[in-house]
Formats: sequence, C-alpha cells, structure tokens
Amino acid sequence: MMSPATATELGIADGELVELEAGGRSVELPVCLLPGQARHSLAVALGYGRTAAGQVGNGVGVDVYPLRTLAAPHILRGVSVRGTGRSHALATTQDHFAIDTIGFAERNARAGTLVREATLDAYLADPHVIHAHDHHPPLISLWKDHEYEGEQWGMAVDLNTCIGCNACVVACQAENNIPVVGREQVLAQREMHWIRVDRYFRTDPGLTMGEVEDAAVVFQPMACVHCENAPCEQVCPVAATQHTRDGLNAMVYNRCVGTRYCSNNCPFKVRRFNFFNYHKELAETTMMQFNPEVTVRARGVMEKCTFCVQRIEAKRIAARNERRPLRDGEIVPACAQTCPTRAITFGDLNDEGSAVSRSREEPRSYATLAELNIRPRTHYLARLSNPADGGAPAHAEGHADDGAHGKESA
Amino acid sequence: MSTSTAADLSYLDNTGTDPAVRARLVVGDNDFHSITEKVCGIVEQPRTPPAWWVLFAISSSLTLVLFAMIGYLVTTGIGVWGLQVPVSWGYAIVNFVFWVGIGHAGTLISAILFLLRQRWRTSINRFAEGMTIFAVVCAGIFPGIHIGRVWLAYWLFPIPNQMLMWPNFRSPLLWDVFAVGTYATVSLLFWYMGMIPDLASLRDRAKTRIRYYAYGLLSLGWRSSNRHWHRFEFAYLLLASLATPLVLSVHSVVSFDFAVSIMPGWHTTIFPPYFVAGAIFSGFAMVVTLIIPTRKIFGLEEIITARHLENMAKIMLATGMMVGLAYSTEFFIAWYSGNRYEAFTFLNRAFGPYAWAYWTMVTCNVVVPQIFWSRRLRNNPAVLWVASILINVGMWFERFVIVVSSLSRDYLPTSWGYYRPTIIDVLTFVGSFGLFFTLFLLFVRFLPIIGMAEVKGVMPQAHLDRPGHRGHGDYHGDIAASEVV
Amino acid sequence: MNEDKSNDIFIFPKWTWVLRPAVAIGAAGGLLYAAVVVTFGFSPWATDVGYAPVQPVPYSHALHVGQLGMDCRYCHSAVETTAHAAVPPTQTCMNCHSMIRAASEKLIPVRESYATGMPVEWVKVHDLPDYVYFNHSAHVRRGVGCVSCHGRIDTMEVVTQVEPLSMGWCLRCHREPERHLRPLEFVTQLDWVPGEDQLALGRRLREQNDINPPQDCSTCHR
Repeated sequence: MMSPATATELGIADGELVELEAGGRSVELPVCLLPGQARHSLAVALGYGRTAAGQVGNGVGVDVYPLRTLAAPHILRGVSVRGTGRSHALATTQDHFAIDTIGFAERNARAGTLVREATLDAYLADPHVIHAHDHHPPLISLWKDHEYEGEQWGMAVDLNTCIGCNACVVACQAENNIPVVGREQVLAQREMHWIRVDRYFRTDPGLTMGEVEDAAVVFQPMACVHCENAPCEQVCPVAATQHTRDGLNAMVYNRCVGTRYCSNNCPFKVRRFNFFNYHKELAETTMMQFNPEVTVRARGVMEKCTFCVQRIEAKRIAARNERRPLRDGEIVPACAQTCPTRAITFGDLNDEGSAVSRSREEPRSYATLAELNIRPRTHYLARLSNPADGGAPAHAEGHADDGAHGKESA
Repeated sequence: MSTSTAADLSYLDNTGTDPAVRARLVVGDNDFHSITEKVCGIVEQPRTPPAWWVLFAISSSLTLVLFAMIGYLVTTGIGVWGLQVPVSWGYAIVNFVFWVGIGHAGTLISAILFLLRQRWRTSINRFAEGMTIFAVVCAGIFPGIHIGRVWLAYWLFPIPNQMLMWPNFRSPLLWDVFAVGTYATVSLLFWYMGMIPDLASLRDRAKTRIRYYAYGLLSLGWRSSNRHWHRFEFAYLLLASLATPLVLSVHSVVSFDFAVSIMPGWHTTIFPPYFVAGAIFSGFAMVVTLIIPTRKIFGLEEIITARHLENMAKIMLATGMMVGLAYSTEFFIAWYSGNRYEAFTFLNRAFGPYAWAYWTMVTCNVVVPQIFWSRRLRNNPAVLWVASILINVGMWFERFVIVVSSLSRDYLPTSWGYYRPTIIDVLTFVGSFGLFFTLFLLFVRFLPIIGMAEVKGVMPQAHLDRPGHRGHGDYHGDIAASEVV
Repeated sequence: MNEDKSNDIFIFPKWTWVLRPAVAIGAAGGLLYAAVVVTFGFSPWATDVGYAPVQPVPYSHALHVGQLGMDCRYCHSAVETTAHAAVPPTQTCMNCHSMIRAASEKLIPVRESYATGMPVEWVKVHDLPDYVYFNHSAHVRRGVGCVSCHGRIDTMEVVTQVEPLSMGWCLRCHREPERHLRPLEFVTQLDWVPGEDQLALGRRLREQNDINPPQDCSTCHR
C-alpha cells in the first residue's frame, strides 16, 4: 500500500509491480494506492506467498519474509522502490482509488450526501443539520401505496457505531448460501455479497487525485434497502421480485428468468446475478455446509438481501403456533446478529415502540437516495464526530519524513 | 432494355431540381417487359454467380459462428459475456436495439411513404421490407438469448399455467415482447403480400418444375384478374394503415425499456421520438449500404435511380439532424434540470472513460450526414455508401453509449464499473451480421428484389389513359418518343 | 402484368380445394390440441398425481392407520412443531415390532437397520421442489387436515400422491382456506366429515382462529 502522493512522486501507477529492495534483498509486489498511508511509507503484509496452505492459500500473494530481519522485524528503513512498468490486476470489490478526473471529483462531491456526517457541535446547534442537503421536488408516486395490517419490517444502521469491520458481509455469506466466486469473477466485478461496506475517502477539497496523501474514510454498510416504491419490482417482466404484505421486497429465485433489468434499475446496485453455476464444482461435503432454509441459487438468476426472510418466517410461524404476537428483537438477521457494535437494528415499523421505529424518530435518521422517492426501509443514522478543534474533521498535515525511503510494517 | 452505350450515362441522372419537370422514377429505355426481364432475370440466372457463392460462404460461416456462440452461452451461462454489476446489459441489448432500429426503414417505406403517396418508394420498398424482416430476425435473437435461463423464456408470454402466475404487465420488457412480436408479424405479412403478384410473374416464367411448383405455391393462385387486383390493393392499403402506427410504436416501446427506468441517462422523456428518428436514420443507412452494391452488380441503375439514392440521403440528413438535436437536448436538460446525477451522466459520457464511444457516435451520426448538404457529394454513390456505413457504425455506438455508459456510473460511486466485452460478445455480434447477410443473399437469389408490379404502376406507360397533365395527379413524366408502346 | 394467359400456367388443381378448409381446421385444431396437451399433459395433475414408488419395506398405511387406528402423529411426531412431519426412525417401528411379527420376512430391512444403525431409505412420495418451503406445523396447527394434501392415507396399501401439489393448487387453498379448515381435534382424522356445510364451518373457523393465509412469494420461496 502506498499513498497516491508518494506514488505520483515515484512515478508509480496503481497496480504496477514494484521491486522493493533493502539490504541487498528484494521482493516484487504490486502497488495498491490508498490514501491514508503516510507519505514515503509503504505497508506490506506478511503471511502471503505460502506454499503449503492448501487450496485456499497456496500461491496467493507474495512472500515478503526475505525483507524481514532480526534487526528490523516490523519496521524497515531505507527501502528502495523501483517501478518495473509491468502491472498486476488486484481483485478488489470496490473501485480502486485510481479513477479518472471527473469521476474523482463527482465521487467526492457525492460522498457527503450519501454518507452523512456532522460534528457534535453542529449537531447540538441544530439536530437536523444532516438534513440540510435534502432539497427535492415533492415526491409523488404513480402507484397506490401498499397498506400494512401486520408487521412491516425495517432496518436501521447506525453509522456512528459501525466500524466497517465487514463481519456482516461474512455472516450474510454464511447464512444465505452466497457463493464464493474467486479472483477472476471479482476482477470481472461479479462479487456476490448481498451486503457490502461502501467506502469513500473524504479528501481535502481542491486536491487532484495524484496529490492526495491523507484522507478521512467514511463507510456505509449497504444491502438491499427494501424500497417501498421499489424500482426493481416494476421492471421485472415475470414478476419475480414482488412486495410482500410485510413490506419486504421479495426475490423469487425460482421465478427469475434472469433479464437483469432489476439490477440495472436498482439505484444501490445491491442485486447480484449468478453469471455461472457457481455451486457446480463444490465437493459434497462443502454443499452440506449450506443453510437448508435458503434456496441454493442456480445459474441465470438474480439474488439479493432478503432481510433474512427465512428467519422472519421461522419466528413468525413459531409465534403463531404459540398464539402470541412477535416480540421486538425476536427476529435478528444474520448481519445484525454478528455486528460486534450492534450498529444494525431490525424490527417492525408498525410497532411504535420497536427499537427500529424509535431510531427512525431520531434527527440523525436519513435514507440514502430518498430524493428518488423509492422510500427505503433501511435508514441510516448519521455519524457524529467530535474532533479536537471542533471544526471540520482534522487532517494531520505532512508526515515530514527523515529522508528514509520508507518503512515496512507487518 | 437500355439501348444506351456505357459511355453515355448522363441519362441515368434524374436528380434535377427543375420544378417544371416531374422527375422520372424509372429512367432509360424501359417498358413493362424490360422491367420484368431485368428483375426476374436476377432470380432466373441459370447459374449462380461465383461472387454470390463467395459471399454466401462467408456469411453462412459467420451464421454458424453465431449459433456456436449461442450454444456456448446457453450451456455455460451469461458469464461468458462481459457483463457484470453495474453493467448488466451490454452487447446483447445494444445489438437488439441496433437491429430493431435497422428494421424500421422497410415498413416506413412501405407503409408511411405509401400512405403519403411518395411514389418513389416503389423501387426500393421490396428491398427495404426484406431487409426489415431480416433485421428483425437478428433483433429477435438477442432478447431471447440474453436472459439467464433461456429455457424459461415462455414465462414472458401470458399463458395460463399451473402456477397461476401472469407476467408483470408493468414491465417495459413485456411491452417489448408484444411490440416487437406484432411488428415482426405485420412486417412479414406486408412483405409477403406485396410479393404475391411478382411471385406469380416468376411462376409464369418458370423454366423448371421446381420453380414452377415453388413459385406456384407461394403465389397462392394469383391470376392477375381485376378482382384479384382490387382485393390486393385494398388489402395492401389496410396493411399499410395497420403498419403505420407500428413503425412509430415499436421503437417507442423499445425506448421505454430505458425511459421508464430511474437510471440517469435512461430516464428521459425524449426517448421515444429520439429512438424513432434514430431508427429511421439507421434503417435508411442500411438500405443504402445494401442497395448501392446490389444495383451496381445487377445493373439496376435504371430502376433504382440516382434520385432514389438522393432522396434517401436527404432523409438521412433530416433524421441525422433530429438525432443531433436529441443529443444536444439531452445535454441541455441534464444541465437545466439541476439534477446532479443526470448532469454527471452526460458529463461522464462526453469526458469519462467511455468518451471514445461518445465521440465516435457524434462524429458518425451528426458530422458525417452534414456532407449531404452538398448536392455533388450526396449524388456520388461511393461517398454515399461510405457515409451510410459510418452512420451504421455511429448508430450502433449510440446504443452502446446509452446502454453501457449510463449503467457504468449511476448513483453510488462505490458501485461504478467499466464494462469490457469478451470475445464471445464480439463474435455473437459479428455472427448476427452473418445471419443477416445470409438471409439477404438468399432473398436476392430467390425472390424478386424489386416490386415489379408497383414500379410499373409509376411508369408513364401506366397512365396512357390520362395524358398530358404535366404536374398533376399521378402523372410521372413524359414518355419519350422512343418509348411509345 | 401477367398478360400471358398460356395454358402452362400453374393452377392449383381442384383436389387442393379441400386443402383450404383442411388447413384452416388443421391450424385451429392443432392449436387447440397443443393447448390441451400443454394444459393437461404437462400439468402436475398428469405428471405427479398417482406417483406410488415401491418402498424398501412394504409398509401398509391401510393396515396401521385404517385397521389398527394408529394416529398419524405416533410416527410423524414432529408434524405439529416443525416444518417437516418427520419420517419415523427405525426405533419407532421397533417399539412394536420387537415383539409383534418379530420374525416377519417383510421386516428384514427394519431389523437390519435397527442392528446396523443405518436408516431405512424410504422413498419420498410428496416431494416438493427444493425452492419450496412448506411448513407442516403452520398448517396442522391452523386446522388444515392431513387428508387435504395427502388424501385417504388410511386406505392406501402403498402411499400414492393424490393431489398435484402444484403452485396453483396451493394458491387455491391459500385464497379460499375455508374449503379445507376443520376443528383442530379432527386434523389427523382422515375420514372425518363435517356435520354441517363445510363452507359455513370453514368461514366460522377462519374468523375464530384469525386465519389469513399469505399469498406472498416469500411465504414459500426463500
């Protein structure tokens, strides 16, 4: 990892293979540009390039132990970096930092409205400060509103407590039989995660891409938000995605013929398509890991977050069998169950006392892209920060280095 | 038959602008018989020309490539294409819209120009209709194969079933199924019905038993009686009136696929007229691309005259300007709406990663047709031919820009992507051209490519009962002394 | 055109006149035939109803339920609490058969299974597709009788599928549950007939137990 500013200085492009040399030993590694890496420093990870780690680990990455010495087990000074001109495709689920100029500018301009933040002082002065951006024409729908008699589910994600750890992603993958598609498919932008943690860098205004050195990171867990006016539902020609009586945006795999129109029309791009039969070559023992309560999807069908409908139905049937109403907090989707900071709340929006309804009442509550009149069921609670100077989130200025070419941390 | 020598070709030029002289739609020393001889002669050549075999070998090989690609796709999965999230529609939909667009010219020429009494249509309508059918065949393949589970495509049709499920009538894709299906049916009927009298001519001139029976069956017992002609013309008029709204509806409905969505760059109310204009533009370009070599090879310059080409160039100029207007309107509205997403989409089209596609499109579709302002250039078949090919390229890129560049960067920047077609994508597209040209070559070889009966109807000889009213009614020029029958 | 009236012209011979109505009838009839074949031939009524596979043990429901009067829940014990009705383990068979007909040849697979611990491999008769999540407890606890889906098991020597178990068939009941509701105590009684009009009873039970079967996709497909 290298900061964009350092890369510009050294004339190195994102994904370029570089030769690191220290003390006569050298390794060759691809560069991943990442703002926030201190200037003139590099971070490389130990533990890759293994030879006896089995199917998953063998031949992945580069072994950097040759650079590690007893004298400098963690931080290595005086490393020289030489670009080779060759490049290596790094499989990441999000766009690399490197992007063209207009995309960079637009991304920075949008991040603030998508992932909302305020300082504590600003929030105390005006609790509705995060809604300052909300300007849109009246939202009128062509369709009749759905009516809800029983429950209607909703989710709240607190960006204040979310630490971006991706545990929800893994939990969801395990719960919902989501295929692991591998490097080539990820490079082809076909990762299958139903929930992902969207990451934006907040850079200082006026900087061009190559000048960025430090940046604040904001993130937002993003899964299907189960829009009340779901754009996907209207365009599916075979009605394979439909609204349920409890407000879910249900995806019916066995009805889906795979036109992918729903994915095109999804403003959040949370729908995932089975481009191949990803489960075909799994060992029988691996198949036995699958959750029997969730359909294993075949190729050619779309899939997406269901709010863990299998858990909802299981609890609902159990409660009905016992002739009692569902309790708030009884139904917990896999992501919420796993979240170490309890950033995700799930519950009944028709129940005024439910945790999710109460979090809706908070002034921090907002819905991403609400101006499209899609009325998402997942709301976010804006992040509040309390920086030392009370103003804009602080950016450490210039990690003045001592002239050494870099350091290595493990 | 023309009696002129090759040295003096000036008689072929009927592009004059003198308002006092009504231009002739068939030039040279032609009468009814010579028209029949010329047009039927193409089909009746005893030996198929070697050039035809060469072209047929190439195009049918490409057709096999298409079928191989489809086979690979169906057995392996949509993943063999370059699609991904966010760009879930790529070449297949681009090709679909491209081919449907091309399929516009035929019915426009046959139906709308017929109702508007544009008599010059007669020389090219059969040809254009045939092209329409073949383009719609190519277009029809793509929506079928682009779905993830092809074997369930029948779920798109409202067939009663054990699931008690109907398709979703709110979905523009379903409207597409109906619009394109209706258009293909009516176009096919129109084309076939118009061909019946000419098939009867071929039948009557048949020298072999196979031809005799084949054309005999196809001409449905046409006897050329007054009653037949009366009914034929009435039916033709009816079909023309039925087809006219379809010309406008089919591409409007195709444009709804995009306009009804909420994607910036798609969600645009100008799409229906913009798509229809673009479709006519590309349809005429394809007619010109095919007709220039055809008339040259088969010596049909006296029937498909310079004036026909000029008229088509003028239509391309007009529709090209409409398309250009649509491009600029989109940009203006993107800015004027104040919608940040809309504005960025268009900025991104022109200056983002797909700028190369955008500027190819603008150059081919807006800049190239401007040469048709020049009378000299638009009357030069070579220039016209090259320009028409460029327009086809441009129109393909227009659909590429609309479909791909809009999808690649929508609302959430974290989901932005860049679509790259795979070799399978490209070969499928190339293969669809193979299918198109295969069908076209078969058409040229076995069916009358010019509506003889209709061309004869606009020749001066057809109006001997109404002599002398220059500039009135159906009178189409003087009969030269040498042509008196 | 076609001024040429020579006798060599192609004429449809007279016998082809009969073809015109024949083609019309053939086209219409063919369409009708195709529609009928597709509607009935491909429907689960034709393809699934009557499925009666040979089981590894010739277990007779007619004997055990019909004659001996055993309750469904003796063997299918989980039917009221879980999604699956549970095919009984060999131990359940051996509760009786360790003493009754303990030497029967027909029971050899059962005794083998009991000795080895390997389950008897019963063949599933009422088999829904893997993407369908049917929950027995949700139906049995609302008063849908076993007989509504499984038929008169108590008369079957070999278990046979009598209902199509198609989506439309499920939906019909979810739209009109009153046709099948019965008092909870009679759920497993296969030969029970209502003492009054089924519709009136069904409506009353529906009201009483607040039964509103959902018709959402996610009710069965997850």
